[in-house]
Amino acid sequence: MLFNSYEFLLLFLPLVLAGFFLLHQQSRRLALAWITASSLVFYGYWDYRYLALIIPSIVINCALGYLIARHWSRAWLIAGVAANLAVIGWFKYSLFLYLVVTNGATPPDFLKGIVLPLGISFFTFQQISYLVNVWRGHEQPARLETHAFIVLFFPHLIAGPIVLYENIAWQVRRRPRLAGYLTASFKIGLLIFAIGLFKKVVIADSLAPFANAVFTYAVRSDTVISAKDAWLGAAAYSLQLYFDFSGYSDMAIGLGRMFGFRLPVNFNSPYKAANIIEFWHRWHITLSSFFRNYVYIPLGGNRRGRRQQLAFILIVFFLTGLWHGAAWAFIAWGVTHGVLVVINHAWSRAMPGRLRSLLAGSPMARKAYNCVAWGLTATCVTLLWVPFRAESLPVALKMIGAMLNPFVRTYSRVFPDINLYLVLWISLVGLHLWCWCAPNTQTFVRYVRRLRRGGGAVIMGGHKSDVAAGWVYTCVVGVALYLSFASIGYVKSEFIYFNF
Amino acid sequence: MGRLAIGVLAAFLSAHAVWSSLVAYGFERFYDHRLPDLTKIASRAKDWEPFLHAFWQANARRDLAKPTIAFIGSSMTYGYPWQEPVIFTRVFSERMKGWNVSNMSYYSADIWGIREYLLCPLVVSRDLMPDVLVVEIPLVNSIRQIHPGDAPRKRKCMGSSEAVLPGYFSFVFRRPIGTGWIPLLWDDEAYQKRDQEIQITKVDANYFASEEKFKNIEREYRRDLRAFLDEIAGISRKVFIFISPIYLPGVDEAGADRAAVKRQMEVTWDVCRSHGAVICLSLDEFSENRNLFYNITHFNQQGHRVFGEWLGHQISLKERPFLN
Repeated sequence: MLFNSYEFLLLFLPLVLAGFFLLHQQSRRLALAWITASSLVFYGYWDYRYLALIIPSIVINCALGYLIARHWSRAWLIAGVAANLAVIGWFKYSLFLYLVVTNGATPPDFLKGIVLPLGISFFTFQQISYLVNVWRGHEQPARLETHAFIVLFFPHLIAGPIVLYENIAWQVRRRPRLAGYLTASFKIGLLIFAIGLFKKVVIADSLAPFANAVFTYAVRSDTVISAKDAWLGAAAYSLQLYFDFSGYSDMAIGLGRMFGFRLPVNFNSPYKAANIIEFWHRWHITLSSFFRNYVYIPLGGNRRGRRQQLAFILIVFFLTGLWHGAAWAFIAWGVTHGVLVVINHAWSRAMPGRLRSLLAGSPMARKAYNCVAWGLTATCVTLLWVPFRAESLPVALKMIGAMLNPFVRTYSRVFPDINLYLVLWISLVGLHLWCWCAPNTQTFVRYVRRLRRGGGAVIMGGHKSDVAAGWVYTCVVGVALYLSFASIGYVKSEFIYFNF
Repeated sequence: MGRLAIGVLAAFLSAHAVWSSLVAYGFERFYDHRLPDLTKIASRAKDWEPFLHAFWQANARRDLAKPTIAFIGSSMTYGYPWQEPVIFTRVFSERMKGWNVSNMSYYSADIWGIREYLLCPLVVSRDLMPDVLVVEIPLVNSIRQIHPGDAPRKRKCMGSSEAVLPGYFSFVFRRPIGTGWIPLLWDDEAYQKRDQEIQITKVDANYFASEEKFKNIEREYRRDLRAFLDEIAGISRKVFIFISPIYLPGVDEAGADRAAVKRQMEVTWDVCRSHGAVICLSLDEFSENRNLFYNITHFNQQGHRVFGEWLGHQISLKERPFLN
């Protein structure tokens, strides 16, 4: 069941919400059990056979939590983490490993027939973090019903954000005390959800045909692709991916808020980043946090000297690439990002003193420097989305080759209609500027809430600011929901991150 | 919560009304001569007829002081694959400045499709009957669709559930597809293209009917064509008919039987000429001129220009009393 489908929006969500609010008046435990049961329906809707994987996974990890806490044993932790990695390894990486080891031999049918269960990368990582936290003593072992709720909670189950235990466990255990908290939370949730749905259905899905056309064209061996077309495809995809995934994350966060839970923010205007390190502090934040907390810091972080720190960064980015998929293109994407982060670290240390003092002393120079840095970062990020999206590494290299040779006269025209190019470029530049200048979802929501709290003259029986906030709220929710609802009937597409 | 629901619902409906108005304005603004590509609209049964009605209403009412002329046909009249300014209906419209010209054609139309979809808006809106109707008989498409023993087909106008004949706004308002309207508003053929010489490729064996197949269906074809012409004749004060132009020497090159195609054209011409209420225009002088064709069944830009001029001349000759 997709968040952007009528069956979810008109049937599943209203039913679950109604059940939750009714049961919550009787017992919070019952209400959470209702969500857990609904989440199982949500997950099994795609393929009920996946339930045979996720339910045992939850039960076993819950039991492992108790065993680790009781024996305080590293062996149980290693066993638990290894079991989780084995599951994800089998489903996600076995075919790839077989091909690597056998140098491309024809794989046996049982390997070819493996289907990647939805959300496996997300719920496996969440449970690994749980086991580690229990072992570290940061978490008490959870009861089965609590653990099941935390893992299964449908807003984040399929494509994140990766909700670590510390993000949500305290919210499950604590009953909201403020009167009207759930209602207020629901309203905010609806606003965030509507914005996310709009980003996905109206923006990302409208960009998809253009990005797809260029990447499909590049696959053909008899074609030469021009720099203009390649840049257009890459720019369209970079925006499609951002609006798709950040839209999904907004929807997940909004749904969480509708039920009174705060899920962690996953995007913070990544395309505003002025360097690649900042980009990774803003893009898929929950994944970066996971790797930082559970790989980078345990390896030694920056405590073991410069060289080793840089090596750890490369390891983390290699794993980030691998997490996205079992393919050389993803690994190349991850490692290249790692190299750029390493270069970024090196530059911040090796930056000439005169430049440093110039930037510190002159705001104009600082602005100019930031502009150049932003342009460079945006260019690198856009270039690197090519291997992320391309069918294979050779296709990605073909596209990147074209993008890096803008002065070579090659003629390709993916879209025969040249008027379309003008409209597309204006739209893409406009959207990039929007990403750069406009407030992101969380800033906008804060703005609406601040407006409501602002006080002011009393008009029409209410506070002026309340009325303004009410107008802004209803207009944004109404328009976003209308355009998204209507467009779903025309085009329905999966989220890109479902593949991971 | 109640106020929230009412507010959101009101904003939702207002957004729908505003969006529908914008889309309706877009159709009216960008499609003031030729229909959008109807094949992009998914449901023929439910959507084509009301959309055509909206198109006809918008175009015919554009300037009520001018006489109206409607062109009806298949991809040839639509102007495949050319931008609208170079197709023959536009050339004609430039020549006949005092006329209100509408091109209502769609890809792969046949005589039954024309009856089912394109004629209905003209039949239903009696107050906006075109003063002159120019109809292409899509010979190849029509003969391909007929089978021996086929019963006569009846036209059902407004067979859809739309009780009220819609304008663009009403049409769009009843179909909330959000961004789905954008591809429809975009004319894929609008960009400038250079003219091309004829390209002849081998055609599928069933593209043209063989002599034997045509012999088996000739009776049904004649009957249905006569019924088609009967209906057309009642729609307008003056009806001009032409058969889809075919570059006959190219038929052999494309691997089909030229004699069979010629025979089919003759039969069509014969039915047309024997019908007293329509004026048949012979395109024989075009059928042998290689320079006018883009492929064997469509004109290139030069062909459209020459044909548009020729048609303007023919119609102004025969319509002289009316024009005066």
